[in-house]
Amino acid sequence: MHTRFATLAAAVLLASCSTYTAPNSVVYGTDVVTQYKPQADFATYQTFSVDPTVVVVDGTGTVSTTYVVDGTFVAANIADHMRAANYEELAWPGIGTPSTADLQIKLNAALGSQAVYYPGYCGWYPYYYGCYPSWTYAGSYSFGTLTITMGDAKNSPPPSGNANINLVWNAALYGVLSSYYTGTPGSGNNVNWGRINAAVDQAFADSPYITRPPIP
Amino acid sequence: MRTAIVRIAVAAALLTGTARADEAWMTTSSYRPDQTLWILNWEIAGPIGSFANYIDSTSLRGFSLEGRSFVSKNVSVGLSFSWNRFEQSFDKVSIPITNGTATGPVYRYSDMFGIRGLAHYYFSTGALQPYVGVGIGGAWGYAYQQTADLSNSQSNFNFIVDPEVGLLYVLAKGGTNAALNVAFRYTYTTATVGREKDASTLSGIVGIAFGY
Repeated sequence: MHTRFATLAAAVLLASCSTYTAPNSVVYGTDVVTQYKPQADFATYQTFSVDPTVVVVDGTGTVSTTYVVDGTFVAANIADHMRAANYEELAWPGIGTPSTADLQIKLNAALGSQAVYYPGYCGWYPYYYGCYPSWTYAGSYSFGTLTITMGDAKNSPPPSGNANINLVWNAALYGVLSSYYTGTPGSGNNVNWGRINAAVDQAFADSPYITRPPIP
Repeated sequence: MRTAIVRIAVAAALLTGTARADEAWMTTSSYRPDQTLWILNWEIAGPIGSFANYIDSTSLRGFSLEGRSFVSKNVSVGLSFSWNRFEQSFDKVSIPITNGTATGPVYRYSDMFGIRGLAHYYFSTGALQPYVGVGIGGAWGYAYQQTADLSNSQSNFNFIVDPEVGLLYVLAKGGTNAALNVAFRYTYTTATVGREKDASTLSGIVGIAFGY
């Protein structure tokens, strides 16, 4: 009888073995993180401009490369949100010419791949002792993050050369450039602009403090 | 020859006695109360209170193993080990972070391992044995949350107390007795999952009990 009970208990233990893996909809989903500079008063700014180019740091190859792609669609959406928040848009002056806008918005992208090691399907965290048969999934996924930075040119010195500008807001749109769903930026029409713009909308929805009184 | 006859007589007497004893075990009048119960339970648990803010789906993945020893006719004490897995994915969750917000799909799970001392009181010793009991001990809780490729986790060892009401339905009596165990349990822990404290659950329990 003891043997039968132990067998039953062991069967239940084996049945409880399971994965710890997040579903693809989460792993490859879009995550929007926004942060503002403490003490930043967005009501004190009046004008903005958006650089319509995206500086891409591409780590998907054997050697990391940096290049620029067109981000007009994203820039237009950002401008829509800024105008809706009562800021006045100034056209981006172009390469080599500093913008005179109070808030200067730039786009950057990071592409790469990350190795992941999930614990064994039968393991106990944090020691992955495997049940028999012991399976451990190892693989990798591509990441593609678009960041939107908003610099304060009103209170910090206008940038010249490689001078920095103080940031008052930052949005990181994780996953929007992931090749899993969207393809690689710069490779034609593979980029899912709808997904990117939905993430931009979410970033501004999460940042209701970016607003000012209507300009008379 | 005489020796052989004596041997046969002794063997017959012994066999007769054994047969009588077996026959006696089959009757209710000779039923002996359980001294020890081993119970293997399947647990269906639902987070309540602050825990439901973290995961609100019912867990079908849980079990407990109990050992109860009777110290009197109606009272047992013992030990139990339990495991429950709570798991849920959310399409979109907004979480306040330092000077900002994070929004995205979230996957969360939590494992609760409990080990406790038990005490039970049984209102009857018949075929239906309703009981009340309580367990007090420690619980190791692990909680994990992930959004896109961002994740973090918490693990801690906590206090656990879980009163329960239940019923043993005796299915078979003999040298080893078998019974169906049905119980309803409230579990309070001081475990932290995500940003929620004092994870608590309500559980429905079905198990098989063996008594010796």
